[in-house]
Amino acid sequence: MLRQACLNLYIVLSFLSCWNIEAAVYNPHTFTLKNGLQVVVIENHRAPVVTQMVWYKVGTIDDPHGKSGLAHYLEHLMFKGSLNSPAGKILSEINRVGGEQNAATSPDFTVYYQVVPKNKLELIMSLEAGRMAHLEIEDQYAKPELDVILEERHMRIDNNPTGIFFEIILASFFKHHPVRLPTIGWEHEIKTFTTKDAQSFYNTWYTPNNAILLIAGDVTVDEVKTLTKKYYEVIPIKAKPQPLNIQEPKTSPMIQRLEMASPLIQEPYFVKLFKAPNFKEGSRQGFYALQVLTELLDTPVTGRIYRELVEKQRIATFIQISYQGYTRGPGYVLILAQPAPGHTITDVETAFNKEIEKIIQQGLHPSEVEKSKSRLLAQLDYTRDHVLSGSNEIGKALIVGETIKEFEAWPDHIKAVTPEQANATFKHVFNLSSNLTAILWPQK
Amino acid sequence: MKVFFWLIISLLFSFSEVHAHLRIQEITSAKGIKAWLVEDHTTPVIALNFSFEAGASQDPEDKLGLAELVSQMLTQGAGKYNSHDFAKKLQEIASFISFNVTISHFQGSLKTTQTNAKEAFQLLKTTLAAPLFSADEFKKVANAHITTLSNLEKQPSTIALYHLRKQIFGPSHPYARLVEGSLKTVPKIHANDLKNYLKNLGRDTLKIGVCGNISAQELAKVLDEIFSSLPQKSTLTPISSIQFPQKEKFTTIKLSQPQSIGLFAQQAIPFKNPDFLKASIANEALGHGSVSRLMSEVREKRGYAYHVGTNIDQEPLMSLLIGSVGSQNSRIMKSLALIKEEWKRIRDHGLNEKEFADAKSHILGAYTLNFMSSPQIAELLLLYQEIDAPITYIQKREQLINAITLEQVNNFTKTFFTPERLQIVVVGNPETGEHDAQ
Repeated sequence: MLRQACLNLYIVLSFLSCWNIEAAVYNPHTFTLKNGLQVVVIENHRAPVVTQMVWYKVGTIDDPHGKSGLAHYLEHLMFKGSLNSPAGKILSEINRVGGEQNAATSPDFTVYYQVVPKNKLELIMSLEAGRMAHLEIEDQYAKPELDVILEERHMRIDNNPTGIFFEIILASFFKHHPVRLPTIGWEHEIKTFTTKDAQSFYNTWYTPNNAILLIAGDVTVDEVKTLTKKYYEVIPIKAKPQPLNIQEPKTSPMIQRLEMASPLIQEPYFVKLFKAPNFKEGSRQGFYALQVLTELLDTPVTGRIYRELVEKQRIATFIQISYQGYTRGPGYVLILAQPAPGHTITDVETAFNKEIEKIIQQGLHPSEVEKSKSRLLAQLDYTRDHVLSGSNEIGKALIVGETIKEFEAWPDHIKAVTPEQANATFKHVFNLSSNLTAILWPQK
Repeated sequence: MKVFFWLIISLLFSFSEVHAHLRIQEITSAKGIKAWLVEDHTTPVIALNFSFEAGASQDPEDKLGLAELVSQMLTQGAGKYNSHDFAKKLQEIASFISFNVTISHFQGSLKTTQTNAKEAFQLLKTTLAAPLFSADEFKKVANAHITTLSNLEKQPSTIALYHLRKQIFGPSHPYARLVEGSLKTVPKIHANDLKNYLKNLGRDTLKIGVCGNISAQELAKVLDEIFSSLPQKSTLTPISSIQFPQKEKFTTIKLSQPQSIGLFAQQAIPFKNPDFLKASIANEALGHGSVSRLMSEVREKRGYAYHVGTNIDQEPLMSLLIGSVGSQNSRIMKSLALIKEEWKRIRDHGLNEKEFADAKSHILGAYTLNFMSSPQIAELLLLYQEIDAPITYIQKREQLINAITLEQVNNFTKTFFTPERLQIVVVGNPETGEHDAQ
């Protein structure tokens, strides 16, 4: 049951693929309704299937102070209500027609989606528009859901070997920006949520002018235009949301170290975090250069750092380097590795730092950079094969304020990355005098 | 642990709008190699999935994890390519080759594009015919696997599944193993054991599903090129059949976690059984998916769990109806009691009209969602062959489902559900003195 995914807890497992495979040219069409709701349509007629996604520009970083996890709680409550309300019947109605549905809360957004046979598009649009227009949260549904969320927290965090570890890493690495808070919320704060908290959060943020509607699959733009006029354009604006623009304080360079233990592991984990510019911070060149760099460094077997630590020296069993840059909050680069039998965390750390220093001193060879770019671009062949492809990527891009035009020009931006930019970005980001190292030890 | 028991059931439902343009061809090559193909020239992609009926259950007793290591080592160099060159070559041709092991099958997949297909097929052929299995690379792969395994063996979900399977199949039965092997056996595996395992991968159990931009004639040639060098016949150790336990059994494994995990299972029926679709409909109402009796009783009404659900797991030796739930320690016994209550209720009273109509409508509609990409279609074609479905099955399925009546399902549930034989495993620290699930 995947109904409510907390995206940021999955970073270690899932983010490897997010750049290397998906981004590409999808030829989307976009228009905006009178109430400010942006609509995006990606036509793909490969199979008689259609998806609807509503992306609200609100996530964990917008949770009220002292109520971490409230955005996620509301996400659950969007499936709750009396049987004649859209929220109360959406699960069973869509289940009945064989549709899949899910929702996810992340630091930056909350997204609801359904995948259905194409002749059910009108049904899912009427239901989704219904709960965008109106949601009355009642105690009888809201209260038991608090227990469900606590169970979700136990499953995702407490029963997960690295769950608490990554919660503490983010809380330590960021000093002020709410990206440091867990998406599911701290347990003691979850217990304080009231029906009123959730209702007022809904009234503030769930308004058509704060959302993006994305329809992808076997559908035409004209069909979508007709249906959105009927169901979505009639929804009144509830509020004009004003997200806080919180910034991390500028601090002197600092080396941070964090160590924890878990009874659920036998072999330790090594993690390192560096600050990195996100989509909006710094130059856009650095944003694209970082996409090339992560490909260049950690691709299994051939990636520069992977090859050195895993293949040649065999100090680590794997190493993953990921860039979180499509974010409303501060961006970062995260490295995760595990020592090979016979080697220690110190061996991994020393070898990793040495390789970073070597790249800083000697620079990356222009041919390495060019090859990485080609490998990224080669994945474009696959982008139209899946009937729903593009919907997730475009949603994430629009949430951080990227335009469709820039999104579609992704191949050109990657081609434009020069070896000089890659080297300059590397030196700027992989700063050995300012970062956080975290180690998770097995509890003896 | 591979989540093998979630995979199969959702693929067995048909939807008329889809099969209109989903034309499956059965291809037989000059050398007699067969495949199912859905030809589609609107995509540049070609996806080829194949499998052999030899999974981790064929591992020698003292070398559990062998099949898994073979699957990892096949992409670590073949023919003139060492591990590094092999990976580089795949990247150059933007293609993907991977292998996967379940308890009963050894599966491979290739994803490529029309432009690179020729080189990709050649590389797959070399991978199967001339793997290097170098001792040096093996050391690297085995070490990494040991690290993974040592963490895996401590995870509550792994512990629960391992114990449940031991309880059902018997402690030393090949189906009770972890696909990944164990920390006791993996260090005993050597590079030269890998070649031995390959004798299990013969053409006699080979099944192939293909979807994408390739014609039937081209595919026939490609099949011979890739697979004809494999041994004609595989040498497989027969797996002894088992009896599902007659009596209910409840095992608790103590682990100090705030949430306990509960797994529960009973025997189901195989796909070939004419009642299979009735079991699917009944399972839909009991615990499959986001709307079910278990979801309603355990999660929606009481908030006892975030996750609760059931699936039908089709393994060649035995089909299982298996479910799981996660509840805090003070509530896990209550959750399990509710589940068992529902198990009895559906046995005694069957489904009501609305549940029946909804379940049917769901499994008809959901089928469309299996055809969204070439790899997904290729995998489906493979799966149908693994469970020995007729090639016309997709066409007939909707009709078969529509012909089923509520009365037939409710007669069926009376004998199908066996709450008195449920096998239950809890991992966690359930509080005693609570409601007793037994």
